[in-house]
Amino acid sequence: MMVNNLLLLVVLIPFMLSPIVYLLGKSLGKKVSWVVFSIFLCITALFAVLIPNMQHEVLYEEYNWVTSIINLNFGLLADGLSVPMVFTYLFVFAFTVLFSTSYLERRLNAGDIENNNDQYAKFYTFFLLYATSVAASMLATNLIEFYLFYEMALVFSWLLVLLYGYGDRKRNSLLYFLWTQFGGAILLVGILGSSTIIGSFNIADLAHISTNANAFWFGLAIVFGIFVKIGALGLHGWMPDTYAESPAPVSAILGATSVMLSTYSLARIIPYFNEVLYDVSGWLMLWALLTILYAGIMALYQKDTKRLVAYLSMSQMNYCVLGVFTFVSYGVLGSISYSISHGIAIALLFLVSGSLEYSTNTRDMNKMGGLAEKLPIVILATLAGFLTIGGVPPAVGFKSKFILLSGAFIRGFDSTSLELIIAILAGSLATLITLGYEFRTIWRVFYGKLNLDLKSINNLPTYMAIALISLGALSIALGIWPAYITDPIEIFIEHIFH
Amino acid sequence: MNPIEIILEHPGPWLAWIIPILGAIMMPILGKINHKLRDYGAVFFAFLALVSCISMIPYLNAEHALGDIKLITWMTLPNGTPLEFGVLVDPLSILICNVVAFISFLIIVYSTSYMHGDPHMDRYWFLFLYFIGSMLLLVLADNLVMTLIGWEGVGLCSYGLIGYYYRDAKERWLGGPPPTKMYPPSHAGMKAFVVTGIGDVFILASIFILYQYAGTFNYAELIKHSEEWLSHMAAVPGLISIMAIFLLGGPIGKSAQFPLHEWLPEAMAGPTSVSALIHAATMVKAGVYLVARMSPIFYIGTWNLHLPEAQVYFIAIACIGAFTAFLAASQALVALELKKVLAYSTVSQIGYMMLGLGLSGLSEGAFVAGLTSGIFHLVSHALFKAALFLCAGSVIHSVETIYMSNMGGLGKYMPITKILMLLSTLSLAGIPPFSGFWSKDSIFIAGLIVGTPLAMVLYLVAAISAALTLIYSIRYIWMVFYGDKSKFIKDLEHHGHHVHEASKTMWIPIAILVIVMSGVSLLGLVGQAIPSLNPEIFIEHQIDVTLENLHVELHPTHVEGTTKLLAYASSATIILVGGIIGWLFYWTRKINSWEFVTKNKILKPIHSFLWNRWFLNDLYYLIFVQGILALGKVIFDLFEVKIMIPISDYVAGMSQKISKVTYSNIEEGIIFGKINTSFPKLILSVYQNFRKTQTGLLSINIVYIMILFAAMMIWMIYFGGL
Repeated sequence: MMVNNLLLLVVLIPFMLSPIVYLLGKSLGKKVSWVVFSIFLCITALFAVLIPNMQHEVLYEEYNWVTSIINLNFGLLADGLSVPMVFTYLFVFAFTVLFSTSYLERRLNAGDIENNNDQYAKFYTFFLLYATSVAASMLATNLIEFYLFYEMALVFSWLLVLLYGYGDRKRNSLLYFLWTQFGGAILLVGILGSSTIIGSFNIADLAHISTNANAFWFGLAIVFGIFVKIGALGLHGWMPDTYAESPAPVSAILGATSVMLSTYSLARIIPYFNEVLYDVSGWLMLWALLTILYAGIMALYQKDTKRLVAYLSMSQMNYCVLGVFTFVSYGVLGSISYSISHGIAIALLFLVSGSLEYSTNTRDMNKMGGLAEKLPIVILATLAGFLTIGGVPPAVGFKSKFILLSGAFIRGFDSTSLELIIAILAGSLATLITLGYEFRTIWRVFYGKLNLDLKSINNLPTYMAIALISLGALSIALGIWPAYITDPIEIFIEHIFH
Repeated sequence: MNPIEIILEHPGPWLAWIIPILGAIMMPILGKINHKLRDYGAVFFAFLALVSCISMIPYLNAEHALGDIKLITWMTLPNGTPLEFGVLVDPLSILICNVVAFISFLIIVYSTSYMHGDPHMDRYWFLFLYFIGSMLLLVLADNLVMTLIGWEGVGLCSYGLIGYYYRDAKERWLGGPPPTKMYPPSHAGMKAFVVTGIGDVFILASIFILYQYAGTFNYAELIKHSEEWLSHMAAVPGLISIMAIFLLGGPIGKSAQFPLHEWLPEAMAGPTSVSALIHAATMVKAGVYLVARMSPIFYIGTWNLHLPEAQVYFIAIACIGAFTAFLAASQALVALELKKVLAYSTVSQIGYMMLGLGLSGLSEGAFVAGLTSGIFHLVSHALFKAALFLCAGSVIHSVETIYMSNMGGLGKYMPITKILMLLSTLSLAGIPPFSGFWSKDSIFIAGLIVGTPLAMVLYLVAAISAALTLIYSIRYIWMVFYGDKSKFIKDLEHHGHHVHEASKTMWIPIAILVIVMSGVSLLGLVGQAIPSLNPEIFIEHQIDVTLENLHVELHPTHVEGTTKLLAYASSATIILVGGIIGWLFYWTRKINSWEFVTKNKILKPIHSFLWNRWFLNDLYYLIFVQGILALGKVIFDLFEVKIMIPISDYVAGMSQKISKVTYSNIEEGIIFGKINTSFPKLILSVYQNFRKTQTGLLSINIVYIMILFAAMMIWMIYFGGL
């Protein structure tokens, strides 16, 4: 490869630039978003170039980290799993930053927080640190490093929710922090326990774990920890409020992080627990299915656009869980590619709800209606997002969901009737509910007569529109040419299943 | 070979769908430049698609047969299985894609006039061309996944075009007249997408099951290896039946068959040109095409492997087809909206096609005859129904009402439209020698060839429906073109609006359709004497070749002359019975149908039953819309509001309380109160005492160092693994 420590640079440069971003923000104000946008666009482009390489090689870098007390290395791995994921994540982040400028200005003018350059500086610094932590966590090779970045991401996102959220933002951020920290603690127990068993923190060494009798419990702890993050039914208490009351760009990245980082961790760690968790995997699939159905029905009932997207996200994210726990190659491949599709779509939809909020000053769908003619870009973006999530071609969701569900069916035929019924219900009922709330939402928001209260609609600023179009275009482009991301992932799948 | 070379070698099957899709993307751009350019551009792209399809006709010849051409690996599935992207060019797909491209082209010409002056033509053309591209992809694709992509694409365009008038102005609403519930176009579009979505979900499930056993999505491979994987599948009892029924779900939704037929009547909310193309001539035939495409698998299962479960496919689709034919025809008898009558009629006629395809597997010898009858009816129906819809569009365009009760006596003003509509209606009603007669007749013959009791029952249902078809045909023709002018039209004329004949760009495409239809009719007649010219025998030959290429073993039976005579006799009876009733009620108006119905205690409830669409629509809404929304509310109130939110608030409150308690007790009480005051004191006293140990003696200092060193050693041994 061209540079020996490419990955280290990719991780370190944004971290090192964060004080500079802060200082620049102090003087530039909202224009600092361009700095962040450019940094991440470059990194995204780098990963875009890396993706095709992942079919032949992996990038692995290792540095000494702690050597005195315990032997801990700081490793970074770019392989068929992490590169497509990081690429999509950073792409989404870059365009969310582009979107955020005007939105944030509106947010700061709302009155409950002061509007000055310092606010912009802090926002973009935390935002950058948040995204970089998530990306670093996806590149980590050992569990401690992974957990460290995972927690860092949590702290920065908590700050964003606390400082810039709507409504009772102290309560919401506290809830968010407590719930995810709770999940994080359980995850830590699982990680430490597993590491003790294998005698190393290296994720790759987990391959030997299944021989141990306690592996089951630690595996389950890891799963539980991630379930909180992904909002499995009963553990989703933080999700609707946090998503709905955060500023739209933050919600977008929270949503993308939730699904992508959680699926990444599941796909990276859980296949090693294949043997020990296989017996309960049916029940975990059932849990995921119940979440899908439950949150889907909740989404049908919502009036608030962001809350709708929150439930929608909760519902769809659990498809990824379902896919991973099929423990068949199709399911895992489908999960990973669906999490990529979903990451794009959910960010897009949160940005859409942000645009609606920006244009109409309301989030109440009952007050909307007939917006299609005023906001043509927004309805196109909504359609792109919904088609991705509903799994309708030409959006990328089609092939992801297709592979995921075929995985569920393969698992269903392999094992008891429970799994088959889950597969059938996930394929039928859940998909229909999805179509139902999606098209009902479009109908309510965009069609019919223009609501009289909304005569004064703000036009969408150009950069917001560009952000929406770019995310939609990515979904369609990956839908037409899925091999670009699925082929590297497929190599990874081959690797873990043989 | 690289993909470009493959495309250039046989450009037809590729360009046919690539060009319209590219054209669709061009539309908004061209629209920015010049509106005329955009409109002619759309016609041009559709024309190119037609040329590409025509260029495939030589491949019908067995010597030049192309079969399955694979282009690229679209993506790699686990275990290195490639999912390839390709086209299957065989007589069946060539035949259907030519019909699609031909009718699309004519309707796109018609649209230039019909939609003239509409401010949102970019969107219209985009969806229209994207539809043509997706439909041709659906027909030409060589595997189920690609077909599904086209399948969803046409569904999406249908959604967009039904809801084309999304502003929902009152005059665009459908249903009614009040007090019957009316639906806005945007609602109708949503309904269409979701209801067909139900079918899509089933077909998806079926594809997963199929893939599990067959390991491929490719049609040719599926059929070629069907004996292996079907016998493998037969080991699980009931699986083949489930797979078959699920597979039919998609076509049932897309082709608006019972029980998923309720979306089509509302789909008429779109522009009439759209109804003609998508909801009469092409998209709704996609289901028929897919049923025909997959039928060899089940035929092999039924008659080569003797698996009774495989026959479920044919039995189910035959029964559904026959029942739908009757159901929809009965509703057409009472409908008041012109387009809705035609929509019911479409549903009913597709039922016939499905019946024909279903009959094909009910006996070993009927396969080719059944498939032929289904496909023949598809082609002839596409021609006359597209013409009928376009005529209806001209009428509605001219009189600005959708209700037949507001029309009447239009024949004088619109003579050309009247003639064209009359000719197409004769074909629909199955009057010899029109094409509809020949194609319907072939379905009857297929039924007679099968000859089982089930087939006879279906035959009877189909015959009754055919009589109903004739009755409602007479009804709408009379209500639109004959009789006295309605009050509505008199008012219209009073306000200075004169009913006028359709413009040339509108009636010429219809005329072309009717001429082609008449040509087929004529060939049908001539073909009785000269078999080589018979369109039915032509299609039969194509089906034969298609199946031969797929290596399906056939056992054709010779059709007896008496069978044909019997079919003719039943047709004659149908025409006689239907004709007399229609004549009495709707032509001479000797009997006032409305009075006759309302005075009769039995007929009145039947009328209201039919008018309310057998109450199926209301039932579906009750269960699937109101029901689910109510369920959502209940769960939300119970679980989210009563449980999740209190828990969250409790957690937040508790943690605040804990921190407060901790703060006041530990922080303030102990740390601030005790430690912070006592610690400095402690340090001070330690310091003062410690001073005493600083003796300045080297030996004592060495002792300290030794103790420290020992502590470090212990530390390192314990933790460092030394």
